Amino acid sequence: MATDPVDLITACINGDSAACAALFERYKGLIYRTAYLIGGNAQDAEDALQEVFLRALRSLHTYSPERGAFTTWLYRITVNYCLGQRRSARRQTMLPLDGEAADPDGDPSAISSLTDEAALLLDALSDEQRVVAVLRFYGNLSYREIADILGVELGTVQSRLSRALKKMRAVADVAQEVG
Amino acid sequence: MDCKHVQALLPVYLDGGLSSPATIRAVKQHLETCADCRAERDADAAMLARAARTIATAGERISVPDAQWGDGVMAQRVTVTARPAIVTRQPNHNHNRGQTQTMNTMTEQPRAARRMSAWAGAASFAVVLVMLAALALAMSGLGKVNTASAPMAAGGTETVTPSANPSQTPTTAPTASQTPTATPDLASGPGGFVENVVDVAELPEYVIPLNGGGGGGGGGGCPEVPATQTVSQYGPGTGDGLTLCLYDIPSMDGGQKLTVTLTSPSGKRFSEQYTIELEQEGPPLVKPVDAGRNDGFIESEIGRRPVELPVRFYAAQEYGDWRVEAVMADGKTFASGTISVVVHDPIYSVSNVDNPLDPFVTSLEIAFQAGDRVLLAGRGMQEAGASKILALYASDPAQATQTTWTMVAYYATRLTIADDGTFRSVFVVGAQTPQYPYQAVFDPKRGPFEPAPFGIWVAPPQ
Repeated sequence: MATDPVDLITACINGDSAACAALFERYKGLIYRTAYLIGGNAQDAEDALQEVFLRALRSLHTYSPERGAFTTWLYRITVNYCLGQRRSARRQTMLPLDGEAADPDGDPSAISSLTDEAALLLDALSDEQRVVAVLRFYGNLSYREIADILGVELGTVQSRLSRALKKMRAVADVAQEVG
Repeated sequence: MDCKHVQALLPVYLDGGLSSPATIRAVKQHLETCADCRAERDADAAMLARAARTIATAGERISVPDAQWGDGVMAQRVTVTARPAIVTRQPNHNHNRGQTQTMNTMTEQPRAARRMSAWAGAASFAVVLVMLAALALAMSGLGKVNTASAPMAAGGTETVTPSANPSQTPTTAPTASQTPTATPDLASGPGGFVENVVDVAELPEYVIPLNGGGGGGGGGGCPEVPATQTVSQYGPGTGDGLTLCLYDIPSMDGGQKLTVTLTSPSGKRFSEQYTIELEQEGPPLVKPVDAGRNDGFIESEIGRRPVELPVRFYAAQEYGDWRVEAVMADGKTFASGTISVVVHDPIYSVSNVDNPLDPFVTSLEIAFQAGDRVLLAGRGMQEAGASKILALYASDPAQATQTTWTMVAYYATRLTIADDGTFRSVFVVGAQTPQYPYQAVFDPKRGPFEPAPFGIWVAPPQ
C-alpha cells in the first residue's frame, strides 16, 4: 500500500478501494475538526465529513499536486461546504446577514459544543472571519494559503484576521468584566 | 501612517503576515514613537497568543468519530472492487440506474438516513472513480471553455481502436432509431440530442494514456487609453471572458456604490450593482451587492484608477458592440462607451437553455442533472455552411486499465455551421443518462483523440 498522498490519490482514482480508505483515514480528522470549528457542533461536522469526502472523491482527478498541497485542496472543499451550510441555515432561520456575529440563541448551527473559551472567541466572529481564524490558528496555514483556499486577495485575509482578532479581544474583555 | 492605520495592521504585523517591507518598517517606526499604539500592540499580542492557543487546542481536543471507509456511522458495509462491473455500456444505460437512485434519495431522506446513504454513496462512488478520471479532460475544456487550444489534444493519444466492436461495445448510447425525438421522453429516458441524432456505433473509440494535462493562460491589464475614453477592455482575445476597464472613478471611499450596465447590440440590458470595500493591503475591492458573483477591483496605484470587472460573453450570447455605462450612487456617470465583443478563434460554451447569459455572471455552469436542457454553442467557426458531427465521448470504465482509459461515443448529432460562424445544439439530460463527464469531439475519425475544448458533466442531483 502506497503512503504518499499522490500515490494514494492515483490508486484511488484507478479504483483501488484500499487507497480510498487510506485517504479517508488519513484526512478525516482534518476535515472533521475543521468543520467542527467552523460549524461549532458535532452534528454539522459529521455531515460535513461525509459530504466533503464525497465531493473530494467526485473531483479527485482534478487535484493537481503542482497547484498545491492536497490538504489545501481538502481545506477548500471543506470551507466551501461549511460556509454554504451556514449560509443556508441562516437563510432558513432569517438570522443576521453576513458580517454580523452569529446569534447562538437563534441559529441552530451556531450552538457550540466547543470549549467555553473557544466558543466565546469563535462565536463572536462573522463566518468569513471565523474561517480565517480557524485556518490560521488550527490549520496553521499561511496568509497566502488561506487566500488561495478562499479565492480572495491576500489583503482580504489580512483584514479579516485583523478584524477577527479585535473582535475576539473585545468579547474577551467583556467576558472578563462580567465574569 | 497614523494610529488608526497602524492599529488596524497590528494583528497581522504581530502574526508575521505583512508582506511589504515598507509597511513593516512604517509600523515599527510608528510604534517607537507612539505609546498608545504600543499599548494596543501589547494587548493585540496577548490576544493573538491566546486565540492561537485556544483554537489550536480546541481543534486537537475534538474527538473524531470512529468512522471507517465503507462502514462506521453508516452501518452499511460496502465492498469496493477495483474493477467494478457496473460500468459497462449496456442498452438504455440501465447500469447507471442504481447509482442514480442512491444519489437521488440523499436529498429526500431525513438527516440520519441521509448520512447512511451518503456514506454508502461515497463508497460506491469510488467504484466509478475510474470513469471520472476522464473528467480531467472535460474539466480542462469546461474550465477553459473559451480557450482556442484544446489542452487534451496534446495529452498524447496512444491508439485508435477499430470502431464499435460489437463484442466489446454494445450499442448503448441512443442510436438514430433508438433515441426518442420528443424532449419529455429524452428527459425521462436516456437523454440525448434533440435534433439530427447520429448513430454512435459508427464512431471510433480512443485508447488514451492515463496522465495529467492542462495548462493556463491569461494576463494583461487595463490598457492606457486617451483621456477622452473611459471604457475599454482586455482579455485573452480568443475567449468569452473579458475584463472590463472603467476609468476615472471619482471616489474610492469604502461603502460607495456604483452600478454598471451593459447593453447588447439588440438592446438587451444587464446591470450589476457594486460596493467599494477597502482592504488593508491590495487594491480596493469592487464587490457585487449580489454576493456570490465575482469581485472586481480598483487599480489605485496607476493613473486614472481603472475599475477592473470580470465579465463573460458566452458563445451563445450576442456579439458585436456593447454599450457600457458606469454610474455612481449619486447618479453621476463616470464611464461610458462601447466595447467590441468579437471572436478571433472558435469559442464554445455550455449552458442551460434558459440561462439568460448575463455577462456579469462569470462562473461557468459545469454540472448538469437529469431534466436539464443543455445548450452547446460555438462561435468563430471557420467553415460556414459546413455539416459536422458533434459527438459526446466519455470514458468506458469497463475498458479502463491502470494505465489507459478508453473514450467511447455515447451521443452524437449532426449540425451545420451558420453563415455567421456559429452553431447551437440542444442536449437533454435524461434520468438514465450515465453520470459521466463527456468530452465533445467534432467529426470523430481514426487517429489521435482530438477533443474540442468543451464538454458536459452529468452529475448526480445536488
